[in-house]
Amino acid sequence: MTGNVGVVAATLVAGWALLSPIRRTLGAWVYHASAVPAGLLVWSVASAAGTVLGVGLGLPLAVVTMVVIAAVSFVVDRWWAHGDGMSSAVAPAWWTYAVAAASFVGLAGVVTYLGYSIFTPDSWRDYELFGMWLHDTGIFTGQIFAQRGLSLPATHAVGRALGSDWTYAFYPALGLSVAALVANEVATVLRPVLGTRMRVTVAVAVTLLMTTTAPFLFQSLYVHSHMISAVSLLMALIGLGRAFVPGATDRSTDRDRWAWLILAGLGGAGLSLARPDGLAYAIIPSVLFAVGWAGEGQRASDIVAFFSAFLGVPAMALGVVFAREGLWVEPTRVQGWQAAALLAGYAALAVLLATVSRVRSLSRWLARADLLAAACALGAFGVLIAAFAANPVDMYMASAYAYSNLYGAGGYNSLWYFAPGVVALVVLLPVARRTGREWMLLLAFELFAVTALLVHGFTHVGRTGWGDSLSRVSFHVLPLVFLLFGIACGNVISAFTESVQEDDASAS
Amino acid sequence: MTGRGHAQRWQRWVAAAVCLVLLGMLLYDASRANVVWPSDDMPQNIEPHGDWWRFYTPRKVGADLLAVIRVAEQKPLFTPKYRAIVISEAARRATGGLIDEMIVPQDLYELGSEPSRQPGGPIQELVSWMILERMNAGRITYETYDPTLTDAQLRILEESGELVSYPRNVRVIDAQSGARRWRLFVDERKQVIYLVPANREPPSDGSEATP
Repeated sequence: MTGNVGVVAATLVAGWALLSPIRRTLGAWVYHASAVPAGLLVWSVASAAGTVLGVGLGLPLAVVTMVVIAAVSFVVDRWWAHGDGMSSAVAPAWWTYAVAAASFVGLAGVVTYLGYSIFTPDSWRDYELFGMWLHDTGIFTGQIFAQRGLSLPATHAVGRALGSDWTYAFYPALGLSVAALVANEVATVLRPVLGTRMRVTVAVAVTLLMTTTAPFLFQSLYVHSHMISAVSLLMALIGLGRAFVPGATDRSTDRDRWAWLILAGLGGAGLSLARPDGLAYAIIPSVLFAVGWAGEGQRASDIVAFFSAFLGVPAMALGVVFAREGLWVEPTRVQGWQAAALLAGYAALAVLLATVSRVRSLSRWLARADLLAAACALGAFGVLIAAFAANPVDMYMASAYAYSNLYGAGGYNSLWYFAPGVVALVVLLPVARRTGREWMLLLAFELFAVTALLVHGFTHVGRTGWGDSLSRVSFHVLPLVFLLFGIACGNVISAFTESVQEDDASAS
Repeated sequence: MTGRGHAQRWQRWVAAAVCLVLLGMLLYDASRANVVWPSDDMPQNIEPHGDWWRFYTPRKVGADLLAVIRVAEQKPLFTPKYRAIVISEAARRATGGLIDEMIVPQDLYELGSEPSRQPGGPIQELVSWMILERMNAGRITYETYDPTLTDAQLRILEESGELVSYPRNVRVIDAQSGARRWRLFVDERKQVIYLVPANREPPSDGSEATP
């Protein structure tokens, strides 16, 4: 029992330490809700350090890593808090830490007391046993990354260090993070268009609906990579939205914007390390950053803030593996050269953005973010068409399996009718898109769909049944669908409220 | 009313109607999932709710890896992995942590095998070397020795009262000796695997077990 509760508590504290320099800008809600997923990155750092030092990922290494990160965060925080351009935001009150700890640790305690988890061979064969390996040897290998990424095996190792023989209680804690982030984001985005009571009502209703869907409940208990991927993608989109969307709140200073970009970058890092194909899905926050950045000042400091947070931990962890064993070869899995190429591609994107912003003609064209977003959307569609042309049989099979699973065997009930319905609502009816945040979510959906089809069409086409990879991976984007639905509902309600006010005004 | 105002009003009502339809879909879904609450009868409750739940329902296993293995999906394909997990976990529990060494036959087939499920396929060993390596930090030594214990030897071990049984036909001689090195044996019918401290010779036929 202590191990499962302990790993949630330790991960929460590790996440607090990692995020502490940006806690004022994030605000209590986002700071605490992002702490558990961010804490998983701390265990990834510990694992990379253990590989270099040849030390198992046990309690001493976990504690030392936490202390080092807390010390670095403290130094950064002093600079952050007293430098120029400091935000006027205040740090979260002490009692919010108590509430967050009670919520996450309390949930872990309840789940542990009840003792329920959902598992498949991936869970017991890989996540738990790779965690055991990391705990015993500390050696992070290409095989581990190729099969299961790093953040979850590392967290299982910490759970084992704390006395757990089967680590499962932090998966519901990640579900709680998703719910808290969606609720807060819906309420925050709707602030300009709805009163407090109404936007809180919409946020709570949407979150309750999301958390009562079968896939959400399932993934909250399932020992696998889907809830961490979903929350990482959500963090990335929230960070980018707050940093770049005109009219978004909390972006009054450069440091506020950097803080949100760091959160987005950490979301990208979480996505990259959650699963072996996570590096491919990290193209979503990367492209959205490029589009947002191009339209919002094109500052070099923004590139540094986002890409350092995004690439720092993955580059460190994979760099250790590359140094130890070169470019690994793992049959039917992500190859070392593919991981290296993706990392290098993201770094090249950062360099490319920094370079083109210095070319005046290009910079001016890039500043038309709407055109750039449209170009990216068309480009992604073009890539998909090209993939079908180049590899028609596998792409068709992957698409056919995806269709049969999302609309039948995958167990999603009505959700994949609901999701296109939400997209159609927002695309076709301008009244449902009034906050400026919607385009970013729509582009994210398209990029996600294209990436998922490419990954599966070119690696493993899948099978019929809920356990199909593409069927499970599709869950990652569902919290964003609910976020968009909440925003769209709020927009429609606000349109009615305005019409009533206009009628009242004309009547008087 | 102007044409634009009329269009806006029309759009508001259409959008509201679409929102309500979408909301209805979610409520319908929620009504199908609302029995999923953590209670003892949860697996039974949710099984009728479609393929999603049919095979992978929440199971009350606590924080016990062996409990997971007991209730995990029962496919012959996984048998070698389950057995290797139980063997390794039993050794860890008897040792009180990570072992120093596990000695296994050079040819793991000697611990048991079964014909391939595919015509012409290779014989399948019943203990997964991959899992043994993964769970024991690679501290596996492959040696050439006869791992078979005769019935007479087993009888002596049974009578010693030191055998501790684990799932999947795994037994450990757990003499609380603090052994950290283990050797694997199997009975003549190759059904039960025995973990014996490596510093302890198996009893010879008709004689007492060496202390």
